[in-house]
This record gives sequence, C-alpha cells and structure tokens, in this order.
Amino acid sequence: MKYFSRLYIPLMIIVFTFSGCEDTFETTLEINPPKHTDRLVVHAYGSTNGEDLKVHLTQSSGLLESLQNNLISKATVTLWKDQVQLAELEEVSFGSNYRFNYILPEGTIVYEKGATYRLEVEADGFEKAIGTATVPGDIPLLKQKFEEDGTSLESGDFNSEVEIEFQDPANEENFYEVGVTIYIENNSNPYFNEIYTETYDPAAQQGISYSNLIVNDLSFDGNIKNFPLVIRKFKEEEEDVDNMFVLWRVTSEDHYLFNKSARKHYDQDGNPFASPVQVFSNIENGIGIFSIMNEEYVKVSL
Amino acid sequence: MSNLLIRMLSLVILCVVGAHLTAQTYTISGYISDKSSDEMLISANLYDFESSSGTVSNTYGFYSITLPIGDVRLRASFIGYTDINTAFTLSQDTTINFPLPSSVEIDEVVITANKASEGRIEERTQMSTVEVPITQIKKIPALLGEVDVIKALQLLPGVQSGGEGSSGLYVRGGSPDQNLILLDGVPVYNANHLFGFFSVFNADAIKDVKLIKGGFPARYGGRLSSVLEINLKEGNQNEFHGEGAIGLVASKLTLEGPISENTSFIISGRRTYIDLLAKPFIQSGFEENGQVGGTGYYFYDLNAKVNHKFSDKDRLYISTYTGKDKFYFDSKELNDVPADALEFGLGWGNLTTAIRWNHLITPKLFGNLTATYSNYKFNVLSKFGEEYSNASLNEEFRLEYDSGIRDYALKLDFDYLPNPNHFLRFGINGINHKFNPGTFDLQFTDPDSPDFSTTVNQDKVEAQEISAYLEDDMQLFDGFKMNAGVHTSAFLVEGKKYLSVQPRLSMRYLLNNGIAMKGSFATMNQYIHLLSNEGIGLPTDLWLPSTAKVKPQSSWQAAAGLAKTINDTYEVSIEGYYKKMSNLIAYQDGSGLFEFGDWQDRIVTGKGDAYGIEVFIQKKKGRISGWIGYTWSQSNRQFDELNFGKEFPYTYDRRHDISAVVTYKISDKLDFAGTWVYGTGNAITIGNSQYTALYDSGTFDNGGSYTYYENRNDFRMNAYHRMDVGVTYTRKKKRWDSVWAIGAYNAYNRKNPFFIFTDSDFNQNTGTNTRVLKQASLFPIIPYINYSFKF
Repeated sequence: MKYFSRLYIPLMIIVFTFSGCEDTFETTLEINPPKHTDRLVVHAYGSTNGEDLKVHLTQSSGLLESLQNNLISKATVTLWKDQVQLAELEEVSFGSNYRFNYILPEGTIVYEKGATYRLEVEADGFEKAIGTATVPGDIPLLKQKFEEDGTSLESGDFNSEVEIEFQDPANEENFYEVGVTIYIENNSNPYFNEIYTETYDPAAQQGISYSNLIVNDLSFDGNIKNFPLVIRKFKEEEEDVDNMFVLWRVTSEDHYLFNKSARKHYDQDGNPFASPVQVFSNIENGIGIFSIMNEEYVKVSL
Repeated sequence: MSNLLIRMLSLVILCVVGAHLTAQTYTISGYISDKSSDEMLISANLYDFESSSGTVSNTYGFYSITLPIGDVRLRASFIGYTDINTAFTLSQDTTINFPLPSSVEIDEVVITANKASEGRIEERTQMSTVEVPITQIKKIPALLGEVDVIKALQLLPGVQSGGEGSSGLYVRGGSPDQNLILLDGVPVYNANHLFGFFSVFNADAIKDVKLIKGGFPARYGGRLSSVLEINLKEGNQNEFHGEGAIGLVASKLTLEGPISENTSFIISGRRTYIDLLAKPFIQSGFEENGQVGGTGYYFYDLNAKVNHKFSDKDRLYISTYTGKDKFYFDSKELNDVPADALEFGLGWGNLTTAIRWNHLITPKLFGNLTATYSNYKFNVLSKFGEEYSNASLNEEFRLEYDSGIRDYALKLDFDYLPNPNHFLRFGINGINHKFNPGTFDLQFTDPDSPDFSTTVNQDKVEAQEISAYLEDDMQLFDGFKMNAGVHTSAFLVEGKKYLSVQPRLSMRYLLNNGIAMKGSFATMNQYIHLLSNEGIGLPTDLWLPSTAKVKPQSSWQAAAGLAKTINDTYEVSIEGYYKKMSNLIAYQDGSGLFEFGDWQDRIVTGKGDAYGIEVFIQKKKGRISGWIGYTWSQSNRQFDELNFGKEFPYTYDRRHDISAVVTYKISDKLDFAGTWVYGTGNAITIGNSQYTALYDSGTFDNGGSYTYYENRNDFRMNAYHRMDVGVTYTRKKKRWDSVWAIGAYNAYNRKNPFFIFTDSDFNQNTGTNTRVLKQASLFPIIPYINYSFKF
C-alpha cells in the first residue's frame, strides 16, 4: 500500500502537467506542397471527318491553388508535318458551350492516313509544348444493324442495340472508339446528339465520355469482331431511328490510353481505397493529349 | 540445374563417406536444457577442446557430435547460463544431457547472430541472421509499455517499419508478405494487432526469436525476403510459475508448470480492456445525444502448449495460438419513430495449431514430424436501417465482406550429424492452401418490396504446395565454413503446375587477423501474394494465390560482408546486399479493395530491386551496452502498366535508416534504456499539379479538375525520428519478483508523419479560405507505466 501512496503524488503531477499541454498533443502540421512548375495544358483533337482541329489551351496550377482564369491567350499554336509548318491556329473566344480556344477551321487540312503530325504550342513564360499524332488508317465497319429489342433485361423489358462488325488487321495494335448518335437536323445548326452506350463485351469499356466505348484489339487481333452497342429502348416507328448513326473512330494508342486513364481518374475520385491514377499525356514539356482520329458517322441499317 | 544438383549431392556424399573411413569414431548425443525449467535451449554450443571441434543444438535442444575414440573435454555453453564442463574417455556411443544453470541475469542488451562455437560473430557461417534474446526484448522501451517482438526487430539494420505505429516488417526492400513468419513452425499470415500498432506475439510465451534476412538455408522456402522463426516456451517441467503484467493498453498472464513427471504446459493470454473501462462513459455520451449505442476496440491473444516426453527418444508437443481484433460501432435513435440504426464492425484474427513428434532414430539422426493448421480471417460488416415499434415494418440494408486463408500442412524433417564437420538437414513438406479472395454478402429488406439477397464471390481457390530440401553445414578446412543446399518446390493450382529449384549457398572465411569474410547467394520462390493498398498494414490487405494467370514471385539475393569481434567487447559487421525480384503484383491505377469483379483483372505484375549496405556495431559488456545500426539502401519497382512503365521508388524505399539502443545498469534494482531511430520519409503519390481536362466534344469537362501525377511515389514524407526512454525498478522478494517500468514513447514529441491530406484554413484577416497541405501525426509524447510480476 505504501508503494501506491509514494506513486500517487508523482502520478497526479504527471496527469495535471500533460492535461495543460494542449499544443503538445497537436497532431497536425502544415507542410510544404510539392514543387510545381507551371506547364501548358493542351487538349487537341483533329479528325479525318473534315472537322476543325480544336485546341483547349490552359495552364496547370499548383496542387493547392485555384484553377480559375487559367486560360492561355496570345499563344502561337502551329501544325507541322515533317519539317513543314502547315498552318497556324486562330485564337477564338468561346461561348458557354464550346470551350476550345484555338482552332483550325474545317477543311483547312486534309489529314493523310498514316502520316504523323506535330502540334507546337508556344506561350510567354512557358517551355514550348509539343504533341505528336499519327493518323490511323481506314478500318471500315462491315455492319451496323439496329435491333429494337436487342437486349433483354431482368425485368422482362428490352433495350435496343446496334450490332456492329469489323475486320481487325492482323499483327498490329489497333484501337477504336464507338458510340451511337442521333442526327438532329431540325435545327439551324444540325448536330449529332450522343446517346448513352454500353456493352457487355469484355473487349470494350467506357471511355471518358459516357456515350462512347473504347476498344483495343488484344483479344481479337486479326479477326472479325462483332459486338452489340446497347442503348435505351427506341421504338423504331415512333422515334428518330431513321437518323441514327454510329460514330466510328479508329484511334491511336495515345488516344486510347488517355481515354482509359481519364475515365479511371474520374471514377476513383474521392475513393480512399483506390490507388491514384496517372492520366496519360503525350505532350512533351506539358500535359494533355494531341490526337487525330480516323472518324466517320455511319448510318445504322434497320 | 539438375546437373548442379547431382554434383552437389555427390560432393556431400563423398565428404560424409570420406570422413567415416578415416578413423574409428563414436557419437555423443543428448539434450542441452535450462536446469530449472527443463526448457530446451536452441543453438546452444557444445565444444570439444581435444579435437577442437564443436556443434550446436537444434530447435528441440538436441545435439550430436561424433568424435574419435579417446579423451574428450566437452564444454556446453549458452548465453545467460553457466557452462558445464566434463571430461572422459570416449569408447562407445554415449548419451549426455546438459542441464545448464542460469547465471546472473544479463542486463546488457545483446544481439547475437547465432550462438555457435564460442559465440563470436566471425565464427558463424550464417550471415544476415540475428537472434534476439527474449529477455532483452523485454528491456527495450515500448509504445504504451507493450513489449513487442516485431518492434524490437525493427531496430536492427536492414529491417524497417512501415511507418508510425506499424508492426509490418520491411526487410531489405521487400514487402510484408515476403516474410515467412513461423510460430512453432506454423505460418502466421497477419501478425498485427490494433491496425498494426502491435504484433500478435506475446513476449511472455516466447522462448526464441530468429530473423534471417539473406543467405537463406535450404530448409526455408516460400517467401522472398526473410524468415522470422519464433519458438514458444515448452513450459517449466519442474515447478509451477507464473508471470503477468498490467499496462495502459492490455494486461496479460502466463502460467506454466508440470502436469506430470513427463508432461508440462504453458498458457499465456493477453487482452485489452480500454473498451470495457470506457463502455459506461461512451454509453452515457450516446444517451445525451438521444441515442443508444456503443463503440470500442479490443484485441486478445492466447498461446497454449503441452509438451510430453514419452522416453529419451520420443517427445510430443501440441501448441496453439488464437487471437482476434475487433472494432465496432453501433447506434440507434432513442425517441424517433422510425429510429435510424447503424452498425459497423471490422474484425480479423488468426488460429494456428501444431502437433510435433520428435524421434531420435539413431544418435546421429534426429527426426521431427509436424502437422499444422493455420486459419486467418478478415471480416467487415456494415448495416443500417430504420426500426419501427412493429418489427414487421423494419427496413435494413446489410453488407458483409469476408476474406481469408486456411492451410493444412505436414512436414518431415531430419537432422543428421555424421561428424563434427557436417550437419546435414533434409526433409519434405506438403501444404494444402484454401484462399478466399473475398465474398460480398448483400441483403436488403423492405416491407414494401420483396427481400433482396445476393452473394458475390471471388472464386475460392484451393492449391497444393510441396517442397523438399537438402542442406549441409560443413567445415571444409580450417577457417573455411560453408552451408550449401537446394530447396525444390512445386505449386499446383487450377490445373497449372509451377516448379522451382532454388540453390542456396553461404560461406565464411576467417582471415589471419580475426576478420571473417562472408558471402551468400540464394534464390527464393513465393506462391502467395499480398495485395496491398500500401497503407499502414490495415487488414484490408488480401492474401491471394498464384494462379494460372498470376505467376509466383521469385527473387535472387547476393550478399557479402565482413565481421569481427574487438577486445571481446565490440562486435562489428558490415554487409552489402543486392536483391532482384520478379512477378510482384500491385493494384492497377484506380483499383482498390471492395470492388466487384475478378481480382486477377484488377492487378498488374512487375519487378523490383533492392540494394544496400548495413553497418552494425554492438557493445556486449559493461554497465553500458547497446548497439548502433545504420543502413543505406535503395528499393525500386517497375510495372509496365504503372507510371507509364517507368521505374519508381518503392513506398518504403528508405535511403537512410539509423537505430541506436542503449541500456545502462544504474544499480542492481534500477536500469535505464533508451532508443533512438531515424528513417528517411516514405515515398508517396500525392500529385504535383492540377489542371482542367477537356474531351473532344468540348462541352463535357469531366468533373472539372484533374490531379497531375508526374511520377509515382515522387513525394517524400518528412523524415521519421523518435526517442524512447524507460526506467525499470526491480524488486526481488522471497516468493515473487516485481518490476515497475516507467517511460515515454517519443520523448521529445516529434510530430512524425502518419498520412498527408489537404485542408482549408480560414484566414480571419482576409476572410478567405486557403488550401493547405498537412501532415497528420499519430503519437505525440506518450508516457507509460507498467507493472509486471513473476512468481
């Protein structure tokens, strides 16, 4: 018992001492963020379908900074093939829906299949950013058939589907992007309206756009590939199925990797158990993607 | 590879036969034990001064030495015990047991790398091996006063902890799954309590701890980076004893003693009680908020062993370990109708059992048959719903996740000592594994719709692993010792067969100036993977088998070093190593636990390497003793599908690691001990920048900002360093001893990093929020007090 009494006073002193030391037990500490170098962020897309070459040019921010007002203006954005400059893109101010700020107007360039193009971006205060893209060759769709009740659901209802088929070239890596659209022509500015598209084929997966699927030919190299694009139920006679098109793209590996990684990054955001996702970039001295797609809209057959 | 095997076998046979032909010899054999308790002593020395040859006792305390006919002068010795000397004329096979009396308790902290011959570091063939006396582990100051085996091992060069509080072992750039942790010969899969803050090993039940970091003898296999062999005590054969401790986190009690003349037992248990003590206060807190419920955490572990001696030639051991961790939270609103109810639970645990039969076949041949069972389980339960007074109206959503691994194994091992120049070991082992990579059980009940129940399984996988080994520990000529062997294994899973032949070699050459040059080479195969979020040793890590799609991990490691004892007081060693690993697995970018779908589709495979230099200086004698260990190392990984195929630092790549331990015997009753550790910060991925991404439609900005990760693991957390101090006061009484231990963990209150997060700080002057990067720490200075007793 005497041992407890001898210990009692020192123990009480220790308890009161530590109870007064709130700062001692502070468990968070501000630390320096990683070093950040301002970089040009280039998202540039071209297509063989005659559309504009469009560039969204911004700058990166530090991890803890605000992303607002980071558009880059008065930059020089040029397109090259071999050592020859083909064109310089115009800076445009965009509306609320269209966010690209440098474009090469439609029809300025006819992309040569198999050729490699270089995009150079120069802006004050930044290292020159360079992106390279090779235009994929033609791989046509052999079939794009609409089925009103193509996919049965557990509830007993049906979804519609468009069955596509194509011949994959052998002994080379090929990448595709595909989706279903409706051409809206009752409008002063007709456009293709994308529809949510999915599939149960393991060769395809959702890209960064919910309306498109991305595919690589690892599982069917050199073979005819056939799979359904599943969409919501369309009634053939009541809805605008007559204006249904398949957006068919043959893309580069860079485009595929960017699409896949951007999708993953978006999906894992906020998940503490998911490992971080590095979004693919093919911009030297910068961040982003430069891609030229072999693209066509193919009318579905009924 | 088969030619190499044949040549090695031929060499071994020639040496053995040759030795037999040279002189008439007889064998002296027996057991070396603790006189008071009859505990067998592992790796105790037996030396003959007439022939200048010696041997060591095996895991069961058995020794055997074959000497020429004539005079022998034997000395049996073991650290902490008084030597026994005997001399006689050898004229026939002789059995002598050596029950060594305990000497005055050693108070210095002594780490020995084997205890062969005269106990000097330069005498041992085996390199990269450390044996930590359990009595010394108990003297090292510990978090909250809880002595921990793994924490003590983390103070050695080449062995790192994962981070604050972690009890994971990261040995020479390897991951925690690459350590073969054996408790009385049974593999333990998750050796963590309290989310990794403590290990499952109760120091009071343990007799011996040995860690092998490289130069693996052929008798070990199945893991790439280390073997941690922990042997439990057998129980005092002569008297009934007990010991216990009351601490801030847990209390424990160990009882041991004889059951009969030839049978002894030991039982040791430990449990936390914070949850029980806090329960009334927590319940009161819930009630004040209009709820009923509780939250808490507890762990317990229990070790039990029975040891029966049938005769001088036959012994049976039965041992078992069970342990569990449980975190729980539940709450329900008291007065609302319907009442929201929530329940969450997280639990994991191990059960291992071993039955071992020793049989002395001849004085030179010792056999051991072991049957083992190991079961690790992890479980998460999440339940929420609405409760009505009429139970038929209740709604409930329930999600339960289970994973685990279960093994049955049978092992047959032999020790054959034909003469003092050879110690052969050979054996065969078979394991049946059953893996549960994860089962989701989902249930939903709603009075307005049909009940929904589904189970989503990752397919359970059953696999067989068979191995055989042969090794010889030999003295080829004066000053040169070698351990050579081969470990072969086969793994059968899903119709696929993996085969492996793994050569092992370690050598020691003693130079004239007393410096030992050592070298080793070992190849290892591992058929089991741990899929980790690379967190802090959370039980959310998954144990998975190699399959037809996922190949086994493999490695080779080469090491070389020098060792010397100076003035009989200082042991100095310097060792360099290089290790290459392949078929490592990791989650794909964006993947993690709690996802549906086949786990094999969520992983990537790659390779890694690790290299470094370890320096170890130990003072063994005097009132002040201790050691300093320094490691310079680098460890990298490369996966084609991660970091765009570029090599990146392993998360636990630690460029500098320093550990210093000192003990000072102030008086017969008072001891002081202190440790200081330093380590380069962990490498993590938090991103360098952020930017806005845009897809080609131009109108969909993918949720706004993206984080740019230039390279994986390119951010270093702050360095980790910490000092722990402790004082023990020992009182020896007639019937019992008591020890008061008081000290402080993290004595200078270093804010060591635990994890990194972003936060918003409000600036009152400007009225704006600023985003900041912060580091959370876990343990400030934590004093502890602990009372232990022994009777």
